[in-house]
Amino acid sequence: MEHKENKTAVSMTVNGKHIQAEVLPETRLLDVLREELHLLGTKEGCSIGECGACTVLMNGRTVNACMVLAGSADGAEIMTIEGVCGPEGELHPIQQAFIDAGAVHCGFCTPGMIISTLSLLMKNPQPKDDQIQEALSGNLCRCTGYHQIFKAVRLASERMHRKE
Amino acid sequence: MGIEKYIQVTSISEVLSCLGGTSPARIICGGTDMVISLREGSLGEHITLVDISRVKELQQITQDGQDIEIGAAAVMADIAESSCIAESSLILHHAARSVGSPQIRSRGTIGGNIVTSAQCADTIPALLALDAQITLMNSEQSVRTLPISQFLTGPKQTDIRNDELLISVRFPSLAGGVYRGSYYKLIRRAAVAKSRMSFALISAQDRQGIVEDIRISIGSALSTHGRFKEAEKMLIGKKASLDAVEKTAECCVSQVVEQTGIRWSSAYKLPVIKDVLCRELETLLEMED
Repeated sequence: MEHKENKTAVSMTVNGKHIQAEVLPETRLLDVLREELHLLGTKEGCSIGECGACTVLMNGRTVNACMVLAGSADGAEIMTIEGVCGPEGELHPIQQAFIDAGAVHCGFCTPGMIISTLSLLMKNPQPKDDQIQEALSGNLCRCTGYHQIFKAVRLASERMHRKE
Repeated sequence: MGIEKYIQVTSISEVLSCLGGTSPARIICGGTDMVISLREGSLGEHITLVDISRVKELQQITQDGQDIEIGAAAVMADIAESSCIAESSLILHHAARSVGSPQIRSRGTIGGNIVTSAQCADTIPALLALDAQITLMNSEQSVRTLPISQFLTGPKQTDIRNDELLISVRFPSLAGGVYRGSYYKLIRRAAVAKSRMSFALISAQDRQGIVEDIRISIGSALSTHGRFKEAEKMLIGKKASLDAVEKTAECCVSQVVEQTGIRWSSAYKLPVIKDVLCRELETLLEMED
């Protein structure tokens, strides 16, 4: 049962757009993204911060949206998988690399993997394998596709570097 | 879920004003443990949550003379990346970097790690080896400072009172070259897994190789977090040798048995404690030929 009187207003920037929502104290950032904004790219997997399927960028850092209360994200800048592509909907080089490297199997982990890759390549455009491993250590893939995922990260890094 | 009230604060005084009432408020910061507990319902009903994740004055990492002070709400990612922490602590940045995953390090705080006081808390052995001090403030703004070894009173138990807020943790800087340190975490998987055991060691030797200072702390080994003072005494004032190192490691094993008894995990843990300690001490110390 909802306690309407218990709701508070939060506002944040999601993929460049200013949004407002009325939330219960226990509402998580993940719930706001999926239930209020219908941004279904961010997945709910384990709900306890272990699988990384709900990874989004919050103020430039990767977080598990399942462990952030909506109130804690008040005023924050959030980027989800829906905000990764270009203004005309064109795929980001990381997204294209995931397709080209065959790194998308069932696809459930892919949005989180791509957000973690984006965070890595923003800080470190040409990561070594151990750095890729660390950056993706909070994202699980149960289709055992890590080999292809690593290939995709290397491919994206090469392509983005060549473009610059 | 049982949250009656959620309060967002931006200053220490605001937090403290929420802590004095008859129904004590619960503090939330990164939420990496608290949100799970909330959803499990293990925090109880009708609780007031005070969110301190936006209190800037609790997030600072500063040098104050010879001391390094880390605000309770400093996140693991900042501690892991801080060159000041790396130079002054020798080990705490490794401990912070070993926490969970990048996503968890973005949110999880050192204060949360200390106050939760789990057996497997990654930063606690490092802080014990650094002789860290805890600063608390109560709702009347009076300050209490005590060694972290006294603050941690048992498994998931600390000496924090209902109206107190953990403000910061500080330790004397070890920068300057005399001290060496090592932090080794034994774990099933490199990330997002609870540490099996973690070994935090600090040492100092004089030019002749005499051990002037040695500090040993092992996470998930004792029922109450602490140092291995008896074992440390065995090395201090002596030249480090294979024999001395082995005796020290055996002394640590005895202390574990004395405090925890023989458990189901002992057949695994005790030999591992001895072997890892021998290896880490041999690497850390300049050994007698």
